[in-house]
Amino acid sequence: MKNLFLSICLLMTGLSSFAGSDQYMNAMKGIMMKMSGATSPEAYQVAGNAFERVANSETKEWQPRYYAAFCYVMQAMMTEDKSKVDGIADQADKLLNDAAAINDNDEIIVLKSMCMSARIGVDPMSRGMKFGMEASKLLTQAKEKNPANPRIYLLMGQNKFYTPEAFGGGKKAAAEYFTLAVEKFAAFKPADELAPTWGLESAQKMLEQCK
Amino acid sequence: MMKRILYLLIFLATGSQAQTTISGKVTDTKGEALIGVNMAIKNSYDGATTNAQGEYSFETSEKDSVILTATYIGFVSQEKKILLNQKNIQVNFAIKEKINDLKAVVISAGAFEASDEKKGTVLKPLDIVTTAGSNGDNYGALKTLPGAQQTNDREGLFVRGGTGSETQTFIDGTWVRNAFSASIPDLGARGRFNPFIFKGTVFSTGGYSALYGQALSSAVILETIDLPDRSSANLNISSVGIGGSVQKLSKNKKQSWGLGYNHTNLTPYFALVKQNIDYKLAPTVNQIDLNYRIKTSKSGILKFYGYYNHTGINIQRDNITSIDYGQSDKAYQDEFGIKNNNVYANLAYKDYFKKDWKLNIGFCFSDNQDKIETKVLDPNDQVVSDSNFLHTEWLKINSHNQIATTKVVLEKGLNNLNTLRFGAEYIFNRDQILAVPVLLQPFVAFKPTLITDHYKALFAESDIYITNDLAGKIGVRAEHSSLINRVNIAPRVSAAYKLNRAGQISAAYGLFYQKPEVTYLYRNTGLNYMRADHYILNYLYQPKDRLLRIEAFYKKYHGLIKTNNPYAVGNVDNNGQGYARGIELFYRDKKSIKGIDFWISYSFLDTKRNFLNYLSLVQPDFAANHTGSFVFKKFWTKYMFGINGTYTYSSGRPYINYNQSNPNDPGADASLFMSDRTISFHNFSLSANYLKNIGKAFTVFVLSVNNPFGFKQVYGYNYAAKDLNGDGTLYRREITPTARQFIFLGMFMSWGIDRTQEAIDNNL
Repeated sequence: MKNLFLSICLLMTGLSSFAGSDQYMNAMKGIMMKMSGATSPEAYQVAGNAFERVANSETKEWQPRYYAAFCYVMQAMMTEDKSKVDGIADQADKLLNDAAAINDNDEIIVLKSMCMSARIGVDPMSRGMKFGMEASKLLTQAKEKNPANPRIYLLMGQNKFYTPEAFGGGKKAAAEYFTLAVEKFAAFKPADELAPTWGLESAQKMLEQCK
Repeated sequence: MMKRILYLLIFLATGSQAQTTISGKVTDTKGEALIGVNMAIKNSYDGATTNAQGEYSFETSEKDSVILTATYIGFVSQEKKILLNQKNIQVNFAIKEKINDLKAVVISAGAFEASDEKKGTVLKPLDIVTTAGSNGDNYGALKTLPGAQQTNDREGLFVRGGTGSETQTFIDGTWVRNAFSASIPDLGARGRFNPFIFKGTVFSTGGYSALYGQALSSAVILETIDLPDRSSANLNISSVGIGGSVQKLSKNKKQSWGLGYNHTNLTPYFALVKQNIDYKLAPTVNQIDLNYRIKTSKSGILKFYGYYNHTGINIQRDNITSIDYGQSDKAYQDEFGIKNNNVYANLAYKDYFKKDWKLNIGFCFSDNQDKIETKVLDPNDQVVSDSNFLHTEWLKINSHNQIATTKVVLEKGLNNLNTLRFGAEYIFNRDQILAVPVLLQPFVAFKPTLITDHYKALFAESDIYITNDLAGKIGVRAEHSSLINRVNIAPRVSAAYKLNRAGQISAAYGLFYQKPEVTYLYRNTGLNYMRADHYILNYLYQPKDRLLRIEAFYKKYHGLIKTNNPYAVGNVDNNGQGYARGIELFYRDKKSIKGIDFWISYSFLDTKRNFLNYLSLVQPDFAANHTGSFVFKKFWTKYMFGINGTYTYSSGRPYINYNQSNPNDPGADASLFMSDRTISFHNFSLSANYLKNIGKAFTVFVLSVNNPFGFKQVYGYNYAAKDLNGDGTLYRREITPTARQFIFLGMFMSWGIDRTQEAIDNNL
């Protein structure tokens, strides 16, 4: 009986430590569900805040920071009040830098590029050129790290989509990138359960718009 | 049995965690609900985000004492220790906004700013070059802003009742002596600097910072660009000249250098389009530019910019006095020739150190030499030998000025954006002039007049932020000129208060001193400083994509230069005085008419002066009561084609009617002095741009037409110096531009830099 009790206790400690990482996974998956249902900047902020709370407790995980930043970038892109964009983007950049310090990878660089694009919205007239160039520079950097990442091509395609035809942009040029993105999505295998998978739907939608 | 124990244990493990509901409201310190605040229990995942009412609520299984945090972008995070001893706990937060430069009020009194980096700016650097009618001249675009006068016939920017020489230009902190190109009397002058080398422009129409001095009315403060984003090459061909440049960025992106050459020559244009004066030498300019920039550390940069410029112009126009004869064989010509050599070099260094300190050092050197020759020629192109025309009218003038200046500014960032700035400035000025009447040269040994001045200034100012809504600036400047040998102390104060999200008021007061122009110092080195007191009140309303600015000002002038008798050498003193007051309006709108960006400015100016040879306190001949501009920009991204237009209006300017009240005549009726007005001034400029990639070159085609409707423009009148036919009146002639219209056609190609995005974004 004593032995049994001991083994149960051992089991319990094992369980509770398992429950610890389980709690992390569950929390992350729960917030990711919330995030995937978000359609407003407010909803993205709610999800981003939740990821940030997880990030504050899990100092060795890059993903909560990555997703918090992703939510904030989405919030920055969608928010009507452009005067708020820089503050939100600053927060996203800070989280991305922290994430990169834990695990420096291509997904983080892709998101940094997206964050830079979000900042253009504040003042397209004067920021367009400089920030646009930096955003595409970051994509090239990400491609060097991992050419298989489909999100790189999605963003490259979006950049082309908004550049006039006369200057190497346009729907036709963009479609090539979106097609490439869709192909890469088909071949893409996320490294783990929490790895970023977003973008396929956008790529397909954009490709549709190019026709 | 074992299973039961296991279930029991699991049940205990989960069920024992009693839940506590924490809820409350988060507001700012004024009680406004904050949406989106991240509420969290430290070291747990538990938390919530405040809703549209600023309320939050969440459950936690934590126990005992925990720390609840409220985090929100732009606010100081707050923590509260709470004891989880009840089922429901209510915790409210009132969090404080951080003072930050994105939200803090900006003192807007007196200044128009064009910058990409700062907020609350009226213009973007690109606006300077895309304003129709500016023709690539910085000052041209500034003339569409309130406060500036449409004095296109004179050199300099005339602001709020001030003369052109009362506006001074500063590049990277240091004063520019010769900001305008060589010019011919009555024909105005262009700014010397290429607008593309600047990333920021501040046009202060008064009340500016203690960091700057020696400008009674206005300061144009320019900041040069840092390292370019990439290497590039440029080529331009236009109806007025050709030019090219290269800009090379090093591989490690730590340094860059650039070299450019421009040749401007209006000979072909004037051959095609007739001018109302005879150009013996149409304006011809050769300029070589050099720049070098290096990052000296992570935050430090050293920048060099310099050029050499040679300009030549020679014109002949009717001599007005001889027309008074009314005889064609005595219709003489005035010849005016100028050769100008100008060298400018500017070295600027800035860096941050010890976290809160910033250091700015600037050095500047310039050398300017004008060789002028004036003659009166008879119809056979011979120098006249007419006793009515003094031999002294054949003059050779050699005027030479050199300056060397250095300025050091130290900036210490205190907490909450509060900043302390102080420093010193030194300017060495050397001016030399030699005017030789050519016919007297064999008989008299003429010696140059030389004056040198060592000017020193100390200054300090502090930015004081009380909250994001209330800020002030207090500064003082002390100056000493060795020539004047007196010290002046100039206090400057300004403050701004944010009324609501988009509106704010600000006010500025200051004393501004300036040395008299060198022309008068040549005649009397014992002169004192001139002084202007500025009082400015400003209201700014800036919702998204719109901007309304209303400013009222009052200026009092003391110690202006008075030249009591033009023929008595040395009879120059500081007994002049005057005032200026007015209201100005500026409205810019990028929203109301889709795809069109426009601004309107209007200035009402009431000013009087008794200075120079004026007979009484009157409105001076460079000041108009009403001035207005309408500027619009429209770009069709689909066709990469754009049109910009500028309409300017100015009410008639006073002029000296020598037949009514001649200041040279001791018996003149002072009550009639300057009582006449010219016709009002209208101008319209239109420019069209087309963007195209030619091979690898991003190319911009520009066609611009100034005054396509041919409005008659009269800036004033020149009078005959003598009544030669004895009919009791002096012949007069209008001062006008040399042609009603000016047409410019140009092609600008650049390799390496793609300005497409810039052009497109400009119009989003």
